[in-house]
Amino acid sequence: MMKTNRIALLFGLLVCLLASCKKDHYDVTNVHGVNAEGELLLPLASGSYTMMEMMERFQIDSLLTFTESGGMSFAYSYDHQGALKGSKLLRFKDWEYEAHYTVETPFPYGLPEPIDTVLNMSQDVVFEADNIHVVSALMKSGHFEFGLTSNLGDLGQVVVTSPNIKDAQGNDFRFVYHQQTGQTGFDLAGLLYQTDEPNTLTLNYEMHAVFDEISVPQMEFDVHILASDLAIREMSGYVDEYSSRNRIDTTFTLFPDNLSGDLEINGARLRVSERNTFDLDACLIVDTAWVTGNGIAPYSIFDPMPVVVDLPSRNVFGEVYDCVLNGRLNAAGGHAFASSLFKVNAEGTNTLVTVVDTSNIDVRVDVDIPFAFSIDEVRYLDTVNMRLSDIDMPDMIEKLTLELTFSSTIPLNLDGRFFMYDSENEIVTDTLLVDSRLIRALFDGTPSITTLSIDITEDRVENVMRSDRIIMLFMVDTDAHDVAINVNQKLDFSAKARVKYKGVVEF
Amino acid sequence: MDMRKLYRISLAVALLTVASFAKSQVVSPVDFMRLNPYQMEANPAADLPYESVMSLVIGNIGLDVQHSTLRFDNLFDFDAQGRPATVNLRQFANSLKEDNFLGIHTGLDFFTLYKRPSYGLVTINWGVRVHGDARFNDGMFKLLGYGNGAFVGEDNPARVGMDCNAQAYQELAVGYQWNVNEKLSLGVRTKTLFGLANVTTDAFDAELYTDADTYALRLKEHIAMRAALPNAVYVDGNGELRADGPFSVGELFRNPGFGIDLVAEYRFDEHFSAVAAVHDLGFIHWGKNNIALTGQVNDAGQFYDNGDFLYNGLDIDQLQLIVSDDAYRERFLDTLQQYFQLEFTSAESYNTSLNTNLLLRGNYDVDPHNRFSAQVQGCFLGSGFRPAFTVAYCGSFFDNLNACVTYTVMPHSYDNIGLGVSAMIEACNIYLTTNNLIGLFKPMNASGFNARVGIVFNLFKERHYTIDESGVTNSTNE
Repeated sequence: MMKTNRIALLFGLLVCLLASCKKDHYDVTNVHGVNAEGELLLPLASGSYTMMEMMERFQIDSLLTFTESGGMSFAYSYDHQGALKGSKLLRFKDWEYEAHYTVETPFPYGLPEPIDTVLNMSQDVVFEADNIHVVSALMKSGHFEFGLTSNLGDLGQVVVTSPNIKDAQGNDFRFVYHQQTGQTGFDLAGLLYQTDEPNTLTLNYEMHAVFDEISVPQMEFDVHILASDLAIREMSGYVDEYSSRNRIDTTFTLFPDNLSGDLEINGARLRVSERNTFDLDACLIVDTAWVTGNGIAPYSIFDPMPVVVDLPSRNVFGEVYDCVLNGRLNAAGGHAFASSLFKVNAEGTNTLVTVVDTSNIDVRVDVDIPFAFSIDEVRYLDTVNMRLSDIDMPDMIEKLTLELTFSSTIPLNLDGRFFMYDSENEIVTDTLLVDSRLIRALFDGTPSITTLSIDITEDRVENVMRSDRIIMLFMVDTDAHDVAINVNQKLDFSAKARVKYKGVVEF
Repeated sequence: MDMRKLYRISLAVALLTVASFAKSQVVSPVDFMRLNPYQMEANPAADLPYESVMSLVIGNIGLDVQHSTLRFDNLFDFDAQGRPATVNLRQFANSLKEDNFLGIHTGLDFFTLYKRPSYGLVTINWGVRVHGDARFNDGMFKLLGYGNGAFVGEDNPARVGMDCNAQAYQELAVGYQWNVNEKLSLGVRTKTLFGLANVTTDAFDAELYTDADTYALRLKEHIAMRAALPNAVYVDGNGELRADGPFSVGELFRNPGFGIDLVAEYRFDEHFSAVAAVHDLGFIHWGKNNIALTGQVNDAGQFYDNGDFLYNGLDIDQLQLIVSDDAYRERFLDTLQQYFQLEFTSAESYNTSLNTNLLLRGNYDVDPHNRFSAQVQGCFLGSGFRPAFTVAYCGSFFDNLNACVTYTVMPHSYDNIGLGVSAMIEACNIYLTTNNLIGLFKPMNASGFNARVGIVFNLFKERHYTIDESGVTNSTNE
């Protein structure tokens, strides 16, 4: 029994020993978070943009033309169809003709019985036209309104004929006029006009009358003709010098509005093509042409002025003028104005020519402004909205380092400023970049690589998070170099973040 | 050369050789306690000095937690009062090895009956066993503790690897111990098993590469796990895993399995003996309520790259939308999740092997009451092969007190000083053991915790176990 007690005591001691371990040390109820410290490396964004893709992003690619070697130009075309129109030339002025005829009465006063007689008269009228002398013409339109009054009362019918106007079958024009109820007007459309004396028309009147008695010693006739809308479809004749003034008054855009600054343009080209379907030589005289832009005083495009361009007769377009222009343009675009005179038969040649109403002088002006320039400073301003305030960022970021890398074959220097903006309080909460050179171009065809680190400490992270806009200002220059931009030149960009964190993430 | 000497040298060489690679899962002082009936779990060939033993429920209750590197003090920062205040990820990550192990084993015998018929000893045990082990590397914790800034470059990925295997099962073991002759004893124990639950990891690996120049993140992921649970688990129409299926008692007797222990003990003389054993050679067939969990990078869009998740930054337009448009940002994050969605599917039946255990032990009996032992043991775990080397002293005092001291070395675990005490109080054999005394006092800062207690009843008189002068072991009823 003693032995049993000793053994029981021994077991009791052992159990007490096991129960004596310190408990507070293992009390995990006070554990309230995870103590973490480390560094995260994260890629944020990257992109590779050729100049072509940048132009697409600027939405100006439709304004550009490209050469096989990748050269780019702003291309503007100004088409002027009918700078000088034959249809305007081939018109006679409306005219009104009145004539009074007095004929001694050939009959005795007292007629034994009624007589039936025919009286004939003739007259010449002249069409009025400024620049044309028509020998023959196919009339496009025209209307004659005819009137006849007499002291003899009702004259019955009057037959009007003209040897200068013929129908499609070659018959002389014949028009029967009934003074009381008949037709009083007729159209000339489709009729052929022919004359030996340009612009002259001979009209013959054949008056059929029945007289019961004649009580006047003289027969009086008043003829009234109103000619209107006299247009010619095709004529043969002579044309004097004929001119028409035209103006180009237009605004043009280059880069988007948020780009500002001046470009010193070198080697812009202006080409003029024309199609002159007149049977006559013509010329274009540009006496005014200037361009201006925001902050740029108007300056003449051409020197010297005026510029005279011959426009030979032809049925297809052909280039007639090509010149190189230099000058300063605002990056956003500008305002161009030109005034010019188109002249036909400027030499005043007196030869028989044929002109149709579809004869025109059409002109196309092409301006190529190549991406070859020097830039003092062009600024690009952009604003990106952001909304990060709702994101629950752990309060343990010690330092955030943004690492920017730019690799560029584009021969442009690029500086940048990034402002974080709180629009509600209208304050700039932080400035991420201050006149930082993002790209330092080498201008020798080799790529430039720029790396940039932006350290954002813990308190600045908060500033960034409560901002709702990033205002980005980029400044581009060529460091006094004349550069040529190519579609294949490229900008590679990457943004990475190095986040140092240290702190307690609470449960 | 004297054959006996040759045997001893061979045994020593074998012990040293196996110790260099063999592994042990649970080494308990019970295994060395000559008066404890449960020593037969490790050595079914042992000749117990009892006629009959019986216990219900309280005979064998054990809990064992083994780990290579998990220390409570390394996990936390402590406040001024010495209480843990915060989890210190970096400190914890630094304390980990490249390859870490965590094993949990517990068991409870519902019924034990050992009965000595006219010849040999018949043993019957019915209980439940739970074995779980996991191997994991330090990649996940170092990634969390240091960030990916510590893992930059093609040759320096953050590797996250885990291998987790666990199973719970009922075991009905029937054994027979047979003294073939004076020198040789054999033991065999067959086990009928009924699997209750299982988790098997076929793959659980991820690698995160951070490019040194661009910081581009490339994640490779491969997850494949299978599981079986007692109640019906199914995947609903939405692909969600549901575990609310019907359960019945009959489910506890599904998933049949079989295992066997084979042991031979050879006594060279009155002092030296050796034991060779293989335990738990068998399997469980999981045929019911199985599910499979698979995970790999899904092709959900722009960040999918040839089976990997590759995040190399956003394009400018995307970035602008993300910082300015809440709805877009939300959609973007939803899309990111789609790359990593896990898929649950019903799984075919499968087999898992038991944690087969190899054991070699040499004993030196100073006298019938004092024994020194050396043992190498290795266990095939789902996560690998884990060795252990143990030296033990076991002594008997006052005819009814049995004490045992052990020291076990396992990979990354060197502080396993064990103590076991058992006492015969009337017909009750009470025992209390641990293989890690430090673990009892500072369970969270030791490489393991182990405790095993029980009360068994000797129904008949104890046998006297003696070794005579010629070295022959004799046993007689009192």
